Amino acid sequence: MDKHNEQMEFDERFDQNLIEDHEYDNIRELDNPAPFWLMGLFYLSVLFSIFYGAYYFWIGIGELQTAEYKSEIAAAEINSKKQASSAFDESNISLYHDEANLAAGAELFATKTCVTCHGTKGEGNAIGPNMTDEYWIHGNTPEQLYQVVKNGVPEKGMTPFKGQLSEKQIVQVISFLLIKLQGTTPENAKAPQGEKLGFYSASQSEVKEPNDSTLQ
Amino acid sequence: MELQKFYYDNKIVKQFAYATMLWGIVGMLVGLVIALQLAFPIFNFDFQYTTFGRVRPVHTNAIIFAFVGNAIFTGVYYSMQRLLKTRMYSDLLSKIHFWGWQLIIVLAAVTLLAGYTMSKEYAELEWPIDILIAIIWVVFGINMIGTMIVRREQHIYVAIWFYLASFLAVAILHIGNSIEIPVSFLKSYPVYAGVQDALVQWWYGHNAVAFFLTTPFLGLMYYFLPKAANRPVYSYKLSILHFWALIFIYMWAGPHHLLYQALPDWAQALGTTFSIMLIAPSWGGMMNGLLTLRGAWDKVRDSAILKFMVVAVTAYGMATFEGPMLSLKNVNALSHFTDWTIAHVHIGGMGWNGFLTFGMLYWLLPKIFNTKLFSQKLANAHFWIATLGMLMYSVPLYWAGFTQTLMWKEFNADGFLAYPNFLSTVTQILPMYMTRVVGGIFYFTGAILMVYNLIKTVNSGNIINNEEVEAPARAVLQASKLDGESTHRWLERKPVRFAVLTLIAVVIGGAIEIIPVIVVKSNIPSIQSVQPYTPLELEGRDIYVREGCYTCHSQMVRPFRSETERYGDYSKEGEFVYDHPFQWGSKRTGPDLARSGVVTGKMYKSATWHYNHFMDPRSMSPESIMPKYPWFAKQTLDISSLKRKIEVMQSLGVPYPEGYAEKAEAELIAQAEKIAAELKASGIEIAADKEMIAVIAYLHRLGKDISTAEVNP
Ligand code: HEC
Ligand code: HEC
Repeated sequence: MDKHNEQMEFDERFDQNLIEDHEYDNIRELDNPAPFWLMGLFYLSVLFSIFYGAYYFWIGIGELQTAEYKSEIAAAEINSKKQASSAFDESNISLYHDEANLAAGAELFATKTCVTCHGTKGEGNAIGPNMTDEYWIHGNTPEQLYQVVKNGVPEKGMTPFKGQLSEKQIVQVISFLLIKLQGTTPENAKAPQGEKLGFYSASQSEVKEPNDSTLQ
Repeated sequence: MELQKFYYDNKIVKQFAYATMLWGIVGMLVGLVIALQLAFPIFNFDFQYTTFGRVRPVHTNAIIFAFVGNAIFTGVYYSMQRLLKTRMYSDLLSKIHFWGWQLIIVLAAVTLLAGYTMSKEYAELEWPIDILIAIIWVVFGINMIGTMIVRREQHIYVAIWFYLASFLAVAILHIGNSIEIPVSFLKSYPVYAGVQDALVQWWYGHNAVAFFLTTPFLGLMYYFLPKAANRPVYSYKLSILHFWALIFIYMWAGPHHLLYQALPDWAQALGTTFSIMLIAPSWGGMMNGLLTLRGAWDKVRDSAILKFMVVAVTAYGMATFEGPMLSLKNVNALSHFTDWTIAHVHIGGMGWNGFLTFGMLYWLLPKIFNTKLFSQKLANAHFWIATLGMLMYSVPLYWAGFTQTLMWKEFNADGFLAYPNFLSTVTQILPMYMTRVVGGIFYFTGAILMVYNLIKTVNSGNIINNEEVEAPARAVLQASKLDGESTHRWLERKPVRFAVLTLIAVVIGGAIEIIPVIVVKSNIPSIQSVQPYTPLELEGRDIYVREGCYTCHSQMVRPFRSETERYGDYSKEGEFVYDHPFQWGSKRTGPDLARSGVVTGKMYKSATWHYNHFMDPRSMSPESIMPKYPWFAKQTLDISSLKRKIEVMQSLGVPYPEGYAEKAEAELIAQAEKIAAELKASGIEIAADKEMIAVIAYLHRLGKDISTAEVNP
């Protein structure tokens, strides 16, 4: 007839076990077994599943996700306790005056999202207040700034940074604010908010070393 | 025996083949656009109909249902007639199927861009289109089963088993996942909420991959590969084994999309273990394909068609190995929500579906036009450029996935997240997003070459619309088993029985997972403080759905320290009981939003911040890749179906007090005015009836109920 009845080619190396009556539009089938390694793989995967069930449920050695989470947190807490301090006093903060720490503060201001709400030069924007003027909503002492940055003013849109910045980092960033940024006159500065408290006059008192650990 | 004369319908094959090419090009082009949008947000065109959240579903739907769908039908209509030695059962049904499907595609593209969406991935279409899909699908099914009944061939070949299973499973999946109650002509709420909705959705989503992208293509492989290589199928026994194992096991694996999320542990474990058990059955298909090429490898070197098929089958093998690996909890903890998943699906989509389709089109169009392929050289060029494109697409995305997940999880020595600013982890992978665009352009160029080559081919031949053939009628055999006939062989000549068994095999898995989650209360421990959304929040939520925010944002904090540190408390099952539909998302291009309303939390942003951010995300963070939504401030919130929405929610068991639908509007206005006043206090003038207000209200609700709550099991 026509080309539809062409026979499939026969290769004597491979096609000895053609199945007799299996022919569909000239497609033939061979009577080979499934590869034994593939069958092995399948049985192994079934075995894996049984062990998996046993491990997590029937014997219950494996931690389910909530338990696993608790362990992870517990491990992290042990770690942070090791470093925790008692020395740091939030009610009596001395700023950094050395360039290294001030630069670290500037870096934090730029990278820890402060700039998105306070402007790249601290000029303020639609969200957060100007950081360069003499006006303050929450006060201009290091202790007051420290509290604002640590606990935030969430309902007004100022993020709490206690889980994101260490004590030392907070002091670095507020040192940068009060010593470097204050009194600069960036373009597009936002109108004053809060009370006019004047520029913070850096006390030259002895610089204490704040402890570098989480405040939770 | 007397030969009967009849004709194969090639015209329908031709039509589906043209549609495949057309939608393939469109779908890939849309893919390029969204790839560009992620690399350069300017490609959102500041136009609400072309923002990423709306265009991405157009890409996924176009590729899956338009490109791959039409490819399936091309191959099925071509091979089924020949394998069963008969014309299709009904030309009319074929025609309805063809035009109906193209209509669905057009409607899908238009409604998705217009913002009508269910927000359930690959099932986004709204209820009237869902119904149309069901009808057209059944038309296809009747045509298919009718053809089987009037067949001249005694037994049905393995390709047909796969077609049959695909038809049945997709029907169940589509209907099961689309049970929704209309609130208006193009808006509805799914009957399932939260955890249940997520489970049903991923039972569907995973098995759409299985029964739309995999089993029909295995059927195509079983026809076109032996044909193109002119070699017998390696193992009939393997065909039987992997067919039944595959269709049975696949249906259980859905929960692997929800690992470490708010889903009972037992269901997650089923997802993991059944995924692992899928490796061998999947590889059964790959091995049967590759081993069929024994004795034909020399041809592979010369034939672009065989090269496409070999890479397709290999990509299938890779994707079906990677899939189970991604289903292991510890791997998934890293891969989920990242571009790793996107890379994974493109190995399957571009490699397996794309390449097999290309090979099939190159093989089949010259046949029905009674001519030769215009240029083997061009086809070879297509092969190489597409292979290169696939690599340049996926390798950078794997890299992006690893990089970002490691950044998300890294803590510094002080116990803080090393990259607390989510955006810095996005900026880091932007170069990979750009490379991915180049890979996409390569792959797309290849497809253009193919279309050109095939147009030339078609022009050089003449379509044989009705191809004359002769075959004897089917002998009538006794219904019971013949002497020496194996049970399976007997089943192969009893298609209805075959279909019933297939049906049983595919329902079991889903039923065992879904029914307990719906029926057994303890699977979703309730949380007292979780209340229904206020009318304003509900409307805001519907805008969130409309804009496809879920394509970039998850609302699912997994129980990892790296996530609870970044976002807040991990998500609990009981939080989502009023969420029709759920919004957990599957990809974090932006940060998780599940805790955006926890005032003392890390994610809380003031109304002013949200306002400015929606007006232009880059005013808040210059490197943001989120689209702008300035029209939120202009467009008036449409509350015309608010009353109906509340009533539908009530009918779904959301405990709004009786008669609440009447009061809803007043409450909505009161809440909106409060927010507008708050914005005004910060110097932002906006009327209370704008969409912006509703979206902010919704964001400020997220996670709020649970921020002080206790879980009561
Ligand atoms: C999401 C936006 C946002 C971010 C991010 C942000 N702030 Fe603020 N910040 C505000 C807002 C809004 C206020 C004003 C709060 C108020 O009105 O009480 C504020 C207030 C402050 C104040 C007090 C100003 C005053 O006038 O009393 C300080 C100090 C401050 N922020 C520092 C920082 C630092 C340092 C960072 C980065 C570590 C930062 N902010 C990040 C929004 C933000
Ligand atoms: C193309 C992906 C994309 C889409 C679509 C998208 N976003 Fe975003 N979104 C981002 C990215 C990236 C960020 C992080 C950078 C930033 O803050 O702009 C983000 C940030 C956010 C944030 C700030 C989260 C925080 O607290 O830091 C909110 C809120 C948000 N998006 C809401 C939405 C809403 C609502 C929609 C839908 C109308 C939406 N997004 C659509 C990518 C997207």
